[in-house]
Amino acid sequence: MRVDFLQASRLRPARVLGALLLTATLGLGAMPASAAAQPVQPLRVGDMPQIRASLKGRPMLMHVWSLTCAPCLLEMPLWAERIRQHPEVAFVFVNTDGLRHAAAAERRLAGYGVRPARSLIFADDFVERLQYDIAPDWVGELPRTEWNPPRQKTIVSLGPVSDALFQQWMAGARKGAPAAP
Amino acid sequence: MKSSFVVGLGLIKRAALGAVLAALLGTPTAFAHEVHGAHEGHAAASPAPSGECAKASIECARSATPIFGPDGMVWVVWSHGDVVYVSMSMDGGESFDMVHAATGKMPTLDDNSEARPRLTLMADGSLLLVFTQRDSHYVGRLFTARSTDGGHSFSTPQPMLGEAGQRFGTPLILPSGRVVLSWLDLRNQKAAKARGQSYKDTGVAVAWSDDNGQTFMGRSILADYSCDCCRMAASVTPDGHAVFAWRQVFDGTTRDHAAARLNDDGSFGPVRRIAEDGWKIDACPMHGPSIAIGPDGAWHATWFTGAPGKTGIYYARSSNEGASFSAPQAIGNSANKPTRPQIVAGGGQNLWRAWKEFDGKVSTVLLQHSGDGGVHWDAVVEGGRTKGASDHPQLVANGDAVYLSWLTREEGYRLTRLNGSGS
Repeated sequence: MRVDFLQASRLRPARVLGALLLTATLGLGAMPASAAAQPVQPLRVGDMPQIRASLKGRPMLMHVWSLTCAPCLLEMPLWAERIRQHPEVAFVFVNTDGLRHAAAAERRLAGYGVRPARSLIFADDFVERLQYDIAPDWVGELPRTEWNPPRQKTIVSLGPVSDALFQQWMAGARKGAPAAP
Repeated sequence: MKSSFVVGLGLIKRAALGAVLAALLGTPTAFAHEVHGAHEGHAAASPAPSGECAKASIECARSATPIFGPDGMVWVVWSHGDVVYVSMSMDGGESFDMVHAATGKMPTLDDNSEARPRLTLMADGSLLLVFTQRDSHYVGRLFTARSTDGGHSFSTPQPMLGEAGQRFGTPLILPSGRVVLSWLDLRNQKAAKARGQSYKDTGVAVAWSDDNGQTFMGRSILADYSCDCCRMAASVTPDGHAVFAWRQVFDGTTRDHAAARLNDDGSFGPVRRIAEDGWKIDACPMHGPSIAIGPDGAWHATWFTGAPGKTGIYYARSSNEGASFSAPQAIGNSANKPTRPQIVAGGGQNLWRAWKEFDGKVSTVLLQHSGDGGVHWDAVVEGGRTKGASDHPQLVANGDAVYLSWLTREEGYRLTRLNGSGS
């Protein structure tokens, strides 16, 4: 728990959020310094089982977002930091805006320094089917975060993931992880 | 439901490519090009790289919305590739023989099934087009354009405000000839943040025009703290007043629904809560409500909530201008994830509601009719189904005639009359 606390305090979520509030919701002002954009890959109908299978054995966190979702953009700086701090977790980011918005999505993620293991974008106009592939009962609310630790129950959160909740997930994954050989 | 028959199948696609060329080659102020001669064989230059539809035709649009005019005129507004198009029928929707580009390329157009370009017929026969363009930061900007030649050409789009920060423009024509236009507006959020105050939501703004959409008055925010990602809905009272419905953020946390009547002086009457769903969520539902007002003045609303234990779509009515609503009534088959409910009033006590269900493979539009102002509802009937991409269903009234409008990728555009021609 001590480690969690230190990580949490390093993130200083309140300060980060405050500084980026206007930028995130209104899209005004300068973007944070950006690295080279990471390409978003098309997510087609039927791709999701294979993506899940390819990450089996690792803790997987899938975060679904949109360029028009203010709460999604507000917490992007936090995700950038969480991804950097947790290389053991496979972060999968899925944008729902459609392929024609791929460049904008890439720019936005790069602007926040968000570099997940996989960055995907809806690549089919059959949106209901893509949503169903992610979760049959999901109606499309954003942001949607799915925490999928190996051998443990999947947890879904709609809305921003608080730092307390995120640290709780990470701590749970460590407890559930197999002992080192 | 007495009868149900299709009066028009979309025959639009063959004409659309020409309209695209018109949009690209035409002048920036008007795009008046008849495209009878275009052929379907002129498919888009590059094939769709994925499940996204690349052809500039209505079948590849994400939304299609009809309005009715006199003498069998039907206009359907849709968009593709950041261009707004208007398809025209002169036989009540039997055939759509003309497609005109109503705008030039307007990157990035806000065009999904929630945020759709809208068209309204003005009292003088002109048409008002309303749409939202996103800037490079994806902040929306509301535009209007007018057509005085029946949709053949449109004026240069005019921004509603001098700054970006609008979405979900919702036009409504009143019996007086006044057109009112509502939207979700970021100005109060910006002002609050400049003062260092927290304000995560939007305001409901309203403008009105008494010269058929040439100039607008008002443009003020009339209610604060609307959910910023859910489209609005509007209907007209028998005494000629606009009523708007939207998803409101109550107490900073709860995304339930509200409705308010627009007074003659441009202010809102009391903001009424439609239901106490209690959906506490700091997320974007991206799921707007629908409202219809009967000839007796009763308000009828449908909406989606994801409140724990209640996830689904609901109907409620009010006979006292929103002061109180009936207990929410669940609609549809909860096993098939019912969404996107619409409601419309026909003549007398007739109401129709439509929604979408998805079982993992097939999207179905379902319909229900009430002949007693929403007290009792007839058995659910199917209005259509598709195995591919589709728009949200739209219910539209033309006088007492009620139509289901639905655009699907595989079947094309369909406009289906729901009640007999004699009723």
